[in-house]
Amino acid sequence: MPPSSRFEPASIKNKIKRQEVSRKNKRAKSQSKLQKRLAQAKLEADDPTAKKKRLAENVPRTLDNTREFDPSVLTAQPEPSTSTLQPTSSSPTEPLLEESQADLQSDAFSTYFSSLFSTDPSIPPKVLITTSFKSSKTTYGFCDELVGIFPGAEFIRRKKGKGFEMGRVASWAGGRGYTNLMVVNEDMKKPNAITIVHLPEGPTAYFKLTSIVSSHKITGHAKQTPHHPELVLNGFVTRLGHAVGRMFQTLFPPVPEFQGRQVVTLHNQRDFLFFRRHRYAFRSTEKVSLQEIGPRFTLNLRSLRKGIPAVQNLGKAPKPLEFDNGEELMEEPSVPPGMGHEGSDEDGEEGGADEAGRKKLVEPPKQDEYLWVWKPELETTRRTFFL
Amino acid sequence: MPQFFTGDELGNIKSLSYSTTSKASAKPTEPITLHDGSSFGKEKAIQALAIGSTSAGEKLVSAACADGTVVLHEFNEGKLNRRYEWKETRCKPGQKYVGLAISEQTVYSCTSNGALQSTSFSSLGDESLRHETASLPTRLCDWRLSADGKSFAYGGDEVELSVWDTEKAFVAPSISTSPPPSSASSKKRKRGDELLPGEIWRAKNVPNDFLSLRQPVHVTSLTYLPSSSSSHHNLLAGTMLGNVRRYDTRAGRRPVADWSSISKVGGIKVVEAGFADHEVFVADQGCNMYAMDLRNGRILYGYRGIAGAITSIAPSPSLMGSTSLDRFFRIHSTHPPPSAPEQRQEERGDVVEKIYVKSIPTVVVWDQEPESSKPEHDDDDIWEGMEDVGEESDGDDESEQKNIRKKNGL
Repeated sequence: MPPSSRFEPASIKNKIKRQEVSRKNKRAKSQSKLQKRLAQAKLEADDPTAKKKRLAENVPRTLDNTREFDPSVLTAQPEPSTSTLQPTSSSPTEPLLEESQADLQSDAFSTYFSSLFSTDPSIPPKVLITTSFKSSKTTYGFCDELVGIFPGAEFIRRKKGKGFEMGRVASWAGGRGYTNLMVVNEDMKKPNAITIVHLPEGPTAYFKLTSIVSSHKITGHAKQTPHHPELVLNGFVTRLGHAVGRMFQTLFPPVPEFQGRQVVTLHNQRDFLFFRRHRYAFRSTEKVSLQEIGPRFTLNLRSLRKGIPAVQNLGKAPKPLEFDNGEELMEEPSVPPGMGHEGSDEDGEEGGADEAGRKKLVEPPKQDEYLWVWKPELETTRRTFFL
Repeated sequence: MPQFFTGDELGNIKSLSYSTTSKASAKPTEPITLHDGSSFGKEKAIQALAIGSTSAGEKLVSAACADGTVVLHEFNEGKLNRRYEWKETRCKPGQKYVGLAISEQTVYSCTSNGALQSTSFSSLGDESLRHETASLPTRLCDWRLSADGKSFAYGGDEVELSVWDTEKAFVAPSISTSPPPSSASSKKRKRGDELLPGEIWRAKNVPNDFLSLRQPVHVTSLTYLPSSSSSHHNLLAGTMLGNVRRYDTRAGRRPVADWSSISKVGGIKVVEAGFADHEVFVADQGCNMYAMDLRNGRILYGYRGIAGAITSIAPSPSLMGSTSLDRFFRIHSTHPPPSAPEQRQEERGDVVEKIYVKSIPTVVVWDQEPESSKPEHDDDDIWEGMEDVGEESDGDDESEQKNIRKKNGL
């Protein structure tokens, strides 16, 4: 019997001998593993069903496919979770789907999606991109790249001074027919968060923004073209995830231009939304290759608010007690005085295109109502995901 | 086994009953849809719910919808039978119901633009409804009827907390609506700050802050405290700036207690008096809900694991129900405050169960059925039951403290 099998290497006092024995043991182990694999490969080369069976049985347990059950998962068969966690019977899911369907159809984005049937699908939705107050060069660079991503996007510098709060900007933008407002926030001279406001009435989503790689930093990146991209939303399964996914749908034109062969992907994995943009090329009838256009970044939802961002004007003169007696009292001016002037400042940049297409302004609320807020205590396990 | 009714943004009314005994079986409580309004979308969203019972013992559930209709159902054997439906014509788009209450054979409803209506019927079979209207100030945020139905209170954005006599409010609608040139009359009122006809008491704004700046008035939520009686009223109001104020109508117009920075995110959204002594529940615009001690304004404990803003709280003698914007209905356990205010609260309430209700619930009410499930609802029964709970737990507190003392070797 060789000494390696008689003694545990750790029990050998002599260092040289111990190392030798340990090395031998290791080698024998890896050799036997290799032999096993070779035998298995040989067996599976003869019998392809065996390989299939092995792959079907040998599914690794990941955080993703053992996620905690979330009752708001809308698909009857949520791909990762059903196999291990919830054997969902068909009968209780039926009314759930029905009512959830009604809930989805009457949510905040439903008016946008229903209006798509009456408008020209080739016109991209207008997106206003702006920054937080006092932004720096990196943020402006990132905003330029964002403008390249969204076909209907337009960058407008954030005005200085009071009176240009996010809620007020959102209210004006909603009056001008923008569908979304994006505000890139920066901290330490780097973009660190994005607020996306669906206009005119909300909701407002606040995302943490990390891992930004601009296009020119990606080696072998493709050039972007102004074509409408296709949109791939991956892995949004819960009701909250659907709300976020639908919000991103409203940022892109409903009909892509396929000759551009551009795909924008938002891949949700463990609540991180990975943004990627690619161009695909069909190399042959079977092969397709991808070339990244960029930029890359990662979003993480931190909060979802019901309306547009709140504006607290605490110094405002108090209104007296009013009584609603007749119709005339309720007729408030649609554009409060002073707002029109500031609005026309912004208009100067866009050229005053749609004076006629103005809608009634939605007043920003005085208080934010949070539909969902991330807090550390919500993540009871590492397998809890919300999107 | 308390039962709760919830109304949601799709116009559904659901009932949820939680049995404390079935905890072992670990079967989740299933919401039962009593009234399905999801075919209308959000235009029939339920904004207020109220529960009451007639003198004949019939149980009534009233719901106020976003399109201005108020529906009165009779709740019988687990089913809602629609009895009456009427429309508030003064409720305009953009306004919402801020209060709904049933007191015997009368349903009171109030919208945010101050359209107060009382609808009464002599008996349930009776076809004719008697409507009376009164007009209150606009920009209301909350409206509550007192437990005996003799007074009501409201508050809102630049509308101070105010208590009205219910009868007088409807007696003189011509006077209260008479100042159509409201600018002139409001100036006069501002000068004198005099009470409106029917108004019993109106709060006065808190003094200016240390920079001599006026504090904005914005009452977001209010509730009658159980210590109020017909002659005087004890009220609790939450403000947009995160203050919780306690008012006593005998003690002048300023708050007897003003506790600031109770809320963590935004202002106070909901305040609700609990069933134990000195216990109130406070929720803020973020996702926090606390139990508060009324004696010193201290937070006793907070509830964990709430992800959306609380829309409504419904305490019951044993458990508490709450609805939040993250589409969950939660059942909470409560613990009464310690017998002396300076004592430490050892136990804390917890979320016993959370139930996904598929659409955003807006309001929850407790069905006011005493635990012994007597057919007739009586307030006294509830108060008696509540005291028992308080006494028991007080005893527990003391025994525990003794234990602690023993442990510490004292």
